[in-house]
Amino acid sequence: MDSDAVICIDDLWVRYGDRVVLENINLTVYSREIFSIVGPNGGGKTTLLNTILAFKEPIQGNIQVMGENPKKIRKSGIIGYLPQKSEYDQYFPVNVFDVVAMSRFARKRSWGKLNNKDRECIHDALKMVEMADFENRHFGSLSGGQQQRVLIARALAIQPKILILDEPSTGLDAVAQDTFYHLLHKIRDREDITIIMVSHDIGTVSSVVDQIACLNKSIHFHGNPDEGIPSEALEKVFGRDIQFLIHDEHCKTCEKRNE
Amino acid sequence: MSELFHMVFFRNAFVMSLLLSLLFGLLSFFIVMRRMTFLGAGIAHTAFGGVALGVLLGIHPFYSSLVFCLVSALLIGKLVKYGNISYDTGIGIFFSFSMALGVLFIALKKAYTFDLSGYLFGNILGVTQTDLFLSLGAVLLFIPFLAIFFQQILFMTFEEKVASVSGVRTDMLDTLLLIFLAVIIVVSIKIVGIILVSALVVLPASFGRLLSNDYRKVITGGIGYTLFIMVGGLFLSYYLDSPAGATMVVLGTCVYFLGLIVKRSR
Repeated sequence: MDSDAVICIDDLWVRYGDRVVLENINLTVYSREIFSIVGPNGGGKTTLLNTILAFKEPIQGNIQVMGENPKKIRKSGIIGYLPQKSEYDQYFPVNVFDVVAMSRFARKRSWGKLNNKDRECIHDALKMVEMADFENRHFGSLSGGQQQRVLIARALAIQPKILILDEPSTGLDAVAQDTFYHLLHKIRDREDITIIMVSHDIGTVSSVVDQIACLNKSIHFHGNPDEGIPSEALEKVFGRDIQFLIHDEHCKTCEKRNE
Repeated sequence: MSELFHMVFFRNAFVMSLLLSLLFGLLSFFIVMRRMTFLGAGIAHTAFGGVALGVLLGIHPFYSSLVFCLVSALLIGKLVKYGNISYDTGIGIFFSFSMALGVLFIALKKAYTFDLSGYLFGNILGVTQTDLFLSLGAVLLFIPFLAIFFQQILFMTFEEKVASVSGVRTDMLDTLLLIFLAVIIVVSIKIVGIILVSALVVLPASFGRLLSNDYRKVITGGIGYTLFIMVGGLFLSYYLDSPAGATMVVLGTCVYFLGLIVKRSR
């Protein structure tokens, strides 16, 4: 495994029942990259994340996260994670500070006590996502975008080496999405962290990430989106309708590519 | 009132109510917040099969029902996790299966002098010192367990998958929580009965949530509420000459709806 590689995937195959959902996946994610996996709904993006997170066993192939087996890495708690569908109860009786503090408690047996370093990490994470003024607010009283920032703060508070975000921009309006992508760059620039993000929104994502992998059962393109994604690869992943998307005048990536 | 405490059965029931208030006040929060309230009813009802098996084989029903409830709780947990079925389905299957087994076991025992209704609806006259020690044992195991793992269980209750990725041993904690749920239910069956015990799983946290948006206050409010309905119900049942378990549950339900009305009217 390359010393600078954070995740190495080699000839990975995953199946649900009789249906193969991922085939021959080969992928390397390097340290401090913002890496996006894009593809249509049902294309296997979340399955790939679940396999990286050791929630799903592959039928063939090999995955190494920081040079280790994903199961071992998950127990070590060095991954910050924001799932696609948050399963939490909106009215769960916790405030913003409590939510972020959860990740600091994840691996300690401290009889409910936080030390100074824990508090510092929680405050730093809340400051990073610009939610420090909300720490005493009931979590359920926040807007969707604010809740998402708090959940990112929770992921950051464990001081992860890898931040994994599954469809993080879903449900956010255009302004909140812009703020969110700006935040991702801020996190990457200030922390020693690799960010892996899953999205179906190739138009927006390709303008803000360093590397992109187009996935629909198998990887059809893997590289720097600024260098252009071959139209054949896009068609294989998204179908012919992708031409309408990439020629959308609001799509920065397309403008950039058309220049 | 002091003359009541001269009666051994009342003293036992009083102490047991105090211990169970603490147990249910704490446990209820996690069960309700994890949307597993039907699990309490399901596990309690599986105890019927265990009680009946105990009657059939001449074993103390506490031990046979404990085994039944523990096995059911763990099997339901594993079925949900690995069998790709919902909690409701898993509980529904075990609930009716165990009740049916109970009926068959009772039918096989041609003649018995056992107070089965005491197990179904509770009987404070049947609360012995052994039951007190069992309740105390449950408290002495459950409180340190929660004290050590409280925050991890809170995280798991809020978002299980993220907790697991963050390093929380969710499988182990989930199993232990199910074991404690089964033990606490079996321990409390003597006082409130198989049919009514699920109310003690659901009501404390439901009432606590009327009080606050802070989990600390929800839990302490739930403990206070359970203490009030169990001890209050015990005294009320004595003066009304009514069954203690049913009195506690009726009182608890009335207090809950009163709380709901007060909250809504604000």
